[in-house]
Amino acid sequence: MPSTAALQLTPQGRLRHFLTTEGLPRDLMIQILDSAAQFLGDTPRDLKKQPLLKGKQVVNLFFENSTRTRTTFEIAAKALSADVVNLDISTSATAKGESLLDTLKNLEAMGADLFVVRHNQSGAPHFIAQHCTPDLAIVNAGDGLHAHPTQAMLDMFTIRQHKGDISQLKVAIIGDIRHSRVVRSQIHALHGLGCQDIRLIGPGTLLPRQGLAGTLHDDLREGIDGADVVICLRLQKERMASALLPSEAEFHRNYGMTLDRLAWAAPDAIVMHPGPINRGVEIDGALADSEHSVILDQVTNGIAVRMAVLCQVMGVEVGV
Amino acid sequence: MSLATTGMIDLCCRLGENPAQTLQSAADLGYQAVTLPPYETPPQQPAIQLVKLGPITRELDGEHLAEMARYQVGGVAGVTQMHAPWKNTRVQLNALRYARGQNLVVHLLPLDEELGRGVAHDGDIAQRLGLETQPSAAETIALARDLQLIAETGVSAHIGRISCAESVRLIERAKSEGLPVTCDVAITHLLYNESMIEGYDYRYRLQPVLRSANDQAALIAGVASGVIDAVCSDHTPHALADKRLPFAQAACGTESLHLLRSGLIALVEQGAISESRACQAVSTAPAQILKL
Repeated sequence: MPSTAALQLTPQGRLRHFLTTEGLPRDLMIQILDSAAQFLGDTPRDLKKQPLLKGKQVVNLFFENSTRTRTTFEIAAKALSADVVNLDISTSATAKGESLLDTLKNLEAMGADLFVVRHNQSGAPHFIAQHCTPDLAIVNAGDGLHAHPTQAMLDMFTIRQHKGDISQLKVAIIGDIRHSRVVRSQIHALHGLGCQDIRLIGPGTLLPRQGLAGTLHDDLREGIDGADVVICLRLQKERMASALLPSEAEFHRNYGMTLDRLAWAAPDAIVMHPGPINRGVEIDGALADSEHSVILDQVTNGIAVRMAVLCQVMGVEVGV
Repeated sequence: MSLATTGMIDLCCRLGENPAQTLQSAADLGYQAVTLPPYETPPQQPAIQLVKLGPITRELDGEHLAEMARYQVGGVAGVTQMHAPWKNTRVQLNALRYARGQNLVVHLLPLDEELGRGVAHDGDIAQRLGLETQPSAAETIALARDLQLIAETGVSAHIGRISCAESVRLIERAKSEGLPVTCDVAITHLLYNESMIEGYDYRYRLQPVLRSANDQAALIAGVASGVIDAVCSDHTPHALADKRLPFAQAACGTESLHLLRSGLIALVEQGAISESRACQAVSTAPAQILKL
């Protein structure tokens, strides 16, 4: 079967779906970032609305709850004048006998142009893209442990905005690397944009054994030494229940980012977090609120980047 | 002996939704006999000879011994727990000891319950695809325990569907120490490796999972040397609705009756296995294991 990277491109190399940042050509990533920049206004938190998707129907198809991600997609689609329908389909509904494919066929009949899909199973958006009608575009809004490509692209946008050329940067990512779809997408995007120095930091239970670009570090100081970008990940409470960590407190002692520890990174390092943050666990409140933190920029940029992605998969050019 | 015409004896074939059709296909493909796991319901007049395995615990609950003597009288070729978990090692020890007393061969499919929950081999591809991983230790921990209990009880045992290089080594050592064990591998694991799951291809969601190319090579070498006595189809038909799903949700197993002969012919043509060994692995070896 085609890989996810191949499935999302047309034979001409245009983005048909947006499923993963893995294998995404550099020029397509740059196009997304440049288009997103067009949507940002003169002041921070300001977005330029454009009727580029007028008459198009965007369906937010969320099999897993996520108010934040769904809302940013909704704002992005509305800023482009698309019609938006939100469907929260609990996975238990499909467990009651209707297969994902049956659900999909029913929704296709509603005449949507684009599905934004969030699902707890890795590969579910790939599966949907494989089986949907050819004129329907799929955007992955997070699938299992596999990918969260729009989050990764908004992170790339934010890094570029603050630090410039990504290929010259040292990027450290701290936390539950092994079980994070965000990290997988970030690593592929960083790699695709030429970043040579990616450090993945966490205790052995939260690091992958192999398979991802980047060096593995179980020591925080060693990992963030001289880093230009420090990305903290949200620590899920389930990790304690499944014997991967003893406690949040111990995680914070060993891997929690604080203003003091940021001194180990480069002097002008930025700190990022995909949100929502657990203050006092993966990041101290003082650091999250400091000038080093670009966490709120990530949120604003997220809308602009999602606007760019929606336009790309619908084949709409963003004017300069 | 010609592999193209050898009458094949299969060590594991599930019947699926249409048992008569499955058995007719087996007959058409040149199988002489197929072995059914417990609780399969064969048609009244099967197209070929059926060999049955009985459960070693009641309803495979892993906790209460099944009425093995009754199954023995009923003509089963052995008893098995399949991949169902044991409640604890004490039950397994007792079950093996009791089976030995009934002169029954125990068919064991080693898999650690917790580690076995992963849906893909713990390698690069599963990491990239974000699938829950199953390390080889899911099999080898259980296999090492099974071999210790076989040594402890002296029961004759057949180890089914091994999937990794380390298991081949464990079986080789057990045989060299004189343990009464035989072993098989599914044809799918000789033909494929973890690379087949690229693109979340649900057809290759198998149990045990497809492992690395090195594991695949070790399994082929194990068949060639005879450490692995037999090759089976492990045929597992599912309704499309149960199979065509996001990878981790797809039912385990695939239709593979048609692969056993053609797959082995391909391996013989590649020079990986001799024709006589391949013939033996699908005819005389399973016949001996099943005491036919």
